[in-house]
Amino acid sequence: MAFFSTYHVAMKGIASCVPKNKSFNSDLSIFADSEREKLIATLGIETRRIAPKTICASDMCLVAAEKLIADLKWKKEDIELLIFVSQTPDYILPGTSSQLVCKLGLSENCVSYDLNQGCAGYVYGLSMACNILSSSKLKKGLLLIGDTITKLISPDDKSTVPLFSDAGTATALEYDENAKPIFFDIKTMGKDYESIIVKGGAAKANFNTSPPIMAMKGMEVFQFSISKVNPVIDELFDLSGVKHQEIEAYVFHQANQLILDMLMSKQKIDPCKVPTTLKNFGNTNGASIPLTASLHLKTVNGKVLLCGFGVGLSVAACILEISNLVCSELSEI
Amino acid sequence: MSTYELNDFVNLIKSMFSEKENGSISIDTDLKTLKEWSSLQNMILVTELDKVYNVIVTIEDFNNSKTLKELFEVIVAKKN
Repeated sequence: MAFFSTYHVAMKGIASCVPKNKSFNSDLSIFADSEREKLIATLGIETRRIAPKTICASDMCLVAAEKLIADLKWKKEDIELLIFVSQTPDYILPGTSSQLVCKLGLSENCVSYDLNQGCAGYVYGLSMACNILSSSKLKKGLLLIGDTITKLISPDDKSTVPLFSDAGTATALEYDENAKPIFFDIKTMGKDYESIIVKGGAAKANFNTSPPIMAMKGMEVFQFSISKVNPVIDELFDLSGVKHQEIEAYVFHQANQLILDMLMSKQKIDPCKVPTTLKNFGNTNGASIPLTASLHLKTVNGKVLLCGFGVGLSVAACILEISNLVCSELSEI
Repeated sequence: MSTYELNDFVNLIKSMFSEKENGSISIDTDLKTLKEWSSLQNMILVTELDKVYNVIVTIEDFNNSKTLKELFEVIVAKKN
């Protein structure tokens, strides 16, 4: 099992940015009228945000990070770690994180990493950031996660078009001797890597130039979500010693409403403790957890459980304690 | 499980399809041959079966069941 704890790291704030451009599932002509109504009710998604060609995930993360740094009144020279999590980086090389260090005006002494992770990527990135801050005693770090996943979708693909949406986020983390431990449980089910895949545009396809398109085996991913996520949450509770009743909020990856309903039902969670952003922002891949957190955790103090699942396939969950989390106003570009 | 429960199961399945389609649904129906069968419908059905029977029916279970009766037997076997 990959259960571990990190120490002395506090989450200080979260900011999110989405494209101004909206797309409405009620307008999708690839579905018949009756099919469309059922689809919207089942997925819980009405509106999605679609980035224009000129906007990358890094652009949205940059806006979110600037807003968050200003709201926290952080000095940029104190930021010594930047992690950028995305599956839609600016280039195959160099990594996007190094440019973000420069664009944000951070010091050359800032350590930067790119992490290729999807729906579970926020918790993966959080575990990486917390481990680095905890062991190195670097003072402050930024976890940036975002995607323009809609650029990888075929407009005729009924299994992906009504789901996916674009967003970029920034999370501020700080070394703090008084911070409570964060408990992580992470699983990697790589045998099913083809369940969600973009085959073109990289080394296996000899860097072909045709537009890379995401293929998703919807039923397989659904079965994975309803059968593999709950055991990880159960194990996290069991090994951390935290009780269900101690959790003030559960922020799940915003896959779709059907999956969220199944998770809430299996875990016997009061839906009031499960904020969602599906209706207005759809499934924003790895950004969905921090986007939802930034819009709904402002008044929450105490233990929260975060859980991402999907691409990889992978499941990553954690329990952390938040207090007076700075949740910046949503930015749009 | 009794025949009565099998009938309940068939009625549950019928309730998930439109009136146009559900008149033709019986214990001998292969769900995959229905016009309204789709991955979305499949997801909704899996969720409903889990709510009612507390059993997760997999893709393999659907593929291996040629009739509703066979699918029902899979659910019964999983519960036992």
